[in-house]
Amino acid sequence: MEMRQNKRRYGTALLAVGALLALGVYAALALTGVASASGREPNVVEVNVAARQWAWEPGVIEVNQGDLVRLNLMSLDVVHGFYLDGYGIDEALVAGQPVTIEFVADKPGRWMFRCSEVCGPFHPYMIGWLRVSPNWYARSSLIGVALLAAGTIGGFLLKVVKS
Amino acid sequence: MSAVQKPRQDRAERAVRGMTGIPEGSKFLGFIPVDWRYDLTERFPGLRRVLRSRWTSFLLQLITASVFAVALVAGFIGTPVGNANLLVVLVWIFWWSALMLIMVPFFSRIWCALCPLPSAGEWLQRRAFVKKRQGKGLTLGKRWPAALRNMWPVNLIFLGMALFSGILTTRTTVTAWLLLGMVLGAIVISLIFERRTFCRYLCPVGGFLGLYSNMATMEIRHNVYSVCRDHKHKECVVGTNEAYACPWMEAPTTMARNTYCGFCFECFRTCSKDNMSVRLRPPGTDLLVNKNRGLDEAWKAFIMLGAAAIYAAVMMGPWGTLKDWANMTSVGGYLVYASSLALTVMVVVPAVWGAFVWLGRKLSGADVPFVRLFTNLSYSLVPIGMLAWIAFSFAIILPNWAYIPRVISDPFGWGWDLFGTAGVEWNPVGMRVMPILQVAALLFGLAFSIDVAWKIARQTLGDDRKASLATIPPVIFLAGVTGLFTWLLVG
Repeated sequence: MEMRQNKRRYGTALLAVGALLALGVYAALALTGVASASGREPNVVEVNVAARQWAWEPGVIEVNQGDLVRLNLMSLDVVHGFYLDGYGIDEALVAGQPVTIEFVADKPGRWMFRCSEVCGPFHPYMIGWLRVSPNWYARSSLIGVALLAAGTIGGFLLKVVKS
Repeated sequence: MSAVQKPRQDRAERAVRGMTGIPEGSKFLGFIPVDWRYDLTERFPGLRRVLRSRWTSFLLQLITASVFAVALVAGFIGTPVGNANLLVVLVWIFWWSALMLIMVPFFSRIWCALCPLPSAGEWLQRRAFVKKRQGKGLTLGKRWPAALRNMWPVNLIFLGMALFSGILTTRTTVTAWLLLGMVLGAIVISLIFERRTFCRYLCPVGGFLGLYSNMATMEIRHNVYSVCRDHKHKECVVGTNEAYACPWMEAPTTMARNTYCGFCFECFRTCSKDNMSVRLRPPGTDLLVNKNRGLDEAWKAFIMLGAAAIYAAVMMGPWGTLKDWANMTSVGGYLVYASSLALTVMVVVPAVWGAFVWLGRKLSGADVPFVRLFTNLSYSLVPIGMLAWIAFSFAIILPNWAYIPRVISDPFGWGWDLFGTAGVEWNPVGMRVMPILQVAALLFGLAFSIDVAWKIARQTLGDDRKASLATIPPVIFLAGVTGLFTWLLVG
């Protein structure tokens, strides 16, 4: 009876340690990623971005942390707006009139850019992605997932071997 | 000595082990004992008085019904621009976020106590608003067919709605017609069938509320088992002169899960022994209840998990073609989208999950039937599914909160400014924190799901070694699902 209880305690403790470890690694990596520059030479990344009901072309823009990003925005149909999460950039886009915005991609992660002017029914879903590498949010999450899974499976195997 | 003063051991025995099949000593994530309870009605006697009052339910329903009536009118005659219309903002931004982020995780099916959709039907059926009227109600009082007393009808109705979610969440009149249809449907059903048959067996929202309320940190249960056992006249089941039998057709004396408890508090009013309690508890307790598990609920878990991934791709993704398909821009595109969605949630997710469970069963050499293991382990998808929806809901409320004060002042989009908030700027908040919240939610969901999977495997197989081996493939599946949501939401 006591042995059974010990085994259970052992299993739950393993899971708890795995979870804490994963969360710790996640927090550390996320904070490190936010705080540190990538160390690469910053580039100028220029992208032409078209807005139409209810999508951006291209939908995904990839840059490195520290890059100077220049977006040449153009609405192809109605009035749209370009709002970049995390950066707070907000520009109105009148159809046919090009607008250029520049910013330094100093915040790593994946940020959504979204339409900020009501442009039709699917307006809330008019979203694109700006990936600023290194994306520590995603990486640390995946590391956390891997650690949790591996820790748990390791614990299970250990339990099986011991039994 | 009154019932509520009896020893705690009695409660613990009843609450967890006696009826639920939860193994002794189980702890949530290895920390909090699963049988831990904090009795709110014992700690705050005033709360019991409030819950016993018939006026409480009526006033809450009256408030929500009034707001709903205005919103419904806005849906029909207000601006067609969703973000400027009270109905769309109220339902798809405010209600949805409140439901997934606060109500279900913390307060179980409390929404069902507030929901305005069945109110008219229930008032008609009872021929009363507050006090119980004696005599027959305005209903044929038929029982719902036995073959349909499960979640399958709800699963299919929800799936039918999910196929049109792109249109539903963005078109004011479509949302208005849907909700009006649900009100009328609830009335018709209440005139034919007994009590809250519509809510229990047909409401598309009720299905996932029921399943996910197993995660909630709150429950309504009887207090001391022996009091119920020795009370020959089961008032909560048959009703009294002053109060109705459980509207949800539950038996509060033996209820072990939140799934079909609508938090209407009617059992507080019927119980002459004052033996009902509202209690706090560790999350996910009901997932471990080895009673009344079924494939219908398992499929609900698959549908919700698959739908969360597809909605995240359509609504938060960068793929314009997918949005065009969901928006019915072309018939062909929509058919591809709708059939893919239906196939994914009804076939692909269950099939892949089934393959992992089958592998675990082979690996462990377990001799329990595959379907039993498959069904039981499916409940471990509930935590990751719910936490994925929570992560998704952060991306609904944080960027769009500003529409709420706007439509409060200008519900029809006609340029009013009733409370001086119509001019609130669209201003997303917490965008830098959002990915952290989402990742934390997903990792917590994974840990929670693994914990539940292990406990259920041990409960089902009755052997630690077999349970360990049987859980390994499901853990890989759960990790893969979490990775997929990570990519969709922050990757």
